[in-house]
Amino acid sequence: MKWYLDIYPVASISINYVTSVVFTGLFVVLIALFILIWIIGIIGKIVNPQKNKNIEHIEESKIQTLKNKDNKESLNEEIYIAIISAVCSLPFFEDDINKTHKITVTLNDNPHPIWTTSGLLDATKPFYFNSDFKS
Amino acid sequence: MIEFFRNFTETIKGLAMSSGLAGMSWKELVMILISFLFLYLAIAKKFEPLLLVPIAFGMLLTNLPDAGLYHSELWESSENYNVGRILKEGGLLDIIYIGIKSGIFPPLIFLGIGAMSDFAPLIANPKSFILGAAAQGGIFLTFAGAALLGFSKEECGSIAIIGGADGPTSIFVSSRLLSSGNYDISTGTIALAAYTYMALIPVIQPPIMKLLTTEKERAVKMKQLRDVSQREKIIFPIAVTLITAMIIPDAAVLIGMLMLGNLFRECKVCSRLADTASNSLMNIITILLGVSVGATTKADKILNFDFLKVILLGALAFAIGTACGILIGKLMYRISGGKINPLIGSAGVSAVPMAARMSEKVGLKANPSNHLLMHAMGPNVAGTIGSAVAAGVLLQVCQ
Repeated sequence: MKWYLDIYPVASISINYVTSVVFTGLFVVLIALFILIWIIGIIGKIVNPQKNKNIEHIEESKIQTLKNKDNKESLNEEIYIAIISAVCSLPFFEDDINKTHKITVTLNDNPHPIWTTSGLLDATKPFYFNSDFKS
Repeated sequence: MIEFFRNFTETIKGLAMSSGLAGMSWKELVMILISFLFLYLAIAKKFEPLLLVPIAFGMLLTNLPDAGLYHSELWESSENYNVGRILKEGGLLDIIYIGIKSGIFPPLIFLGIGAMSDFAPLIANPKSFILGAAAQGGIFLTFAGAALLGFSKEECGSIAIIGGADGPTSIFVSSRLLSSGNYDISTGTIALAAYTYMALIPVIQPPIMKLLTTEKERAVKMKQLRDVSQREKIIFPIAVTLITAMIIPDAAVLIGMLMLGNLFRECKVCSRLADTASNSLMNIITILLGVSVGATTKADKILNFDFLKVILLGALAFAIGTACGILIGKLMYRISGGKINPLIGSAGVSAVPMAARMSEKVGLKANPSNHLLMHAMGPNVAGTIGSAVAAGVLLQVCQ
């Protein structure tokens, strides 16, 4: 250890200062983000309570419909996977990401949006894709 | 006739002596070769080309002997740089660099990022903030590592922020902390290390992700995210700005601009502003920022032992950040009864959207029908907010 201490002047900052920065920093970041979680959770409940229930309902009914329709769960699972795979294999993983992508899969007349999102890719332009899963 | 030849040879000799080749040192030659390597990586391998091309070309320009585009001495000797002197005596890149030194470019980049980002995955799953916070562990642990290697507290803060995996934040923090006094490292050193590691995310992250997770954990399919209303999306940027600025005022610049850009996008009544912020303005600032950061990589400032230490600590910061995110992801996997895939934790290191794409890619290898991208975007954008908050903390404690 001595050779190491000879090369590096550890004493330039006190160990107490370093420890306080590490723990204070982590503590403040965690507290700040925990407050954000709390506030955003409250906002979500105030602003959008009914919609959250609807989403839960849609997910449950979707599974039921798929199971009841042909009584072939594996087939429906395959369809679901095929849709998601189709969405995710769009050029959005390649260079051609500057376009708006939209996929609509129709299995029946009732629209059930199951996947809607957008985000940032390669710091160029936003992408957006939406698959309306109609069951 | 003899007089003519003498004059001729004297003139040729004078020209040769005043040429760039005669004034070139071996260090400048090495930096020019490194700039070629970066250009190759950007153009042929497509490693962050939008940033790496201007940075590499700035590196090339600044290391051309006697070109006079950038003068590091104008920025070093005085406690406060003299804008009047820079405008009078500086080169083009000196003048552009004022935008970095005065802390204008990074917040404007954040404005563009905000206008391009969709925070819906984070709003739909606020727990993502925990992963975004956990991944900032790399920043503070690297601070301790840098202190151990003998750097001053301002240098420690500048090196540690590399772990945030956020180029503009790294530049913003280091330009503020290293603004006065003589330091062994420069903003260019920090920016170069930060962008190098951001470009190397596909190389750095997957081994750590695989090492810290089991095949079963990587294959976990997560529940679909709920839909997020426009009202929530409008309230989010305002609430985040208010809360973070109240807790850490030094983070208000970055967070404020990030959220302003996002409000432009989500309010749907400022589409022209959102379009300008995310396209024209973003592109202009990216060019100016990249070229001027490249310009700070003067050979005599970069090719030294301290730069090697920064590179080493930067890698450590990145690796620790990734590991912290995954370990907290594993904890959430346990607590949730196996409903959360720990791979999304690595996306908490910011680096939008590459880190999220790594979660998707590694998840797909474990289960070809498992698409984690949407779930990873939550921690990813939370990481951007988290690194800005960490930057505010570092500015407060290190200045």
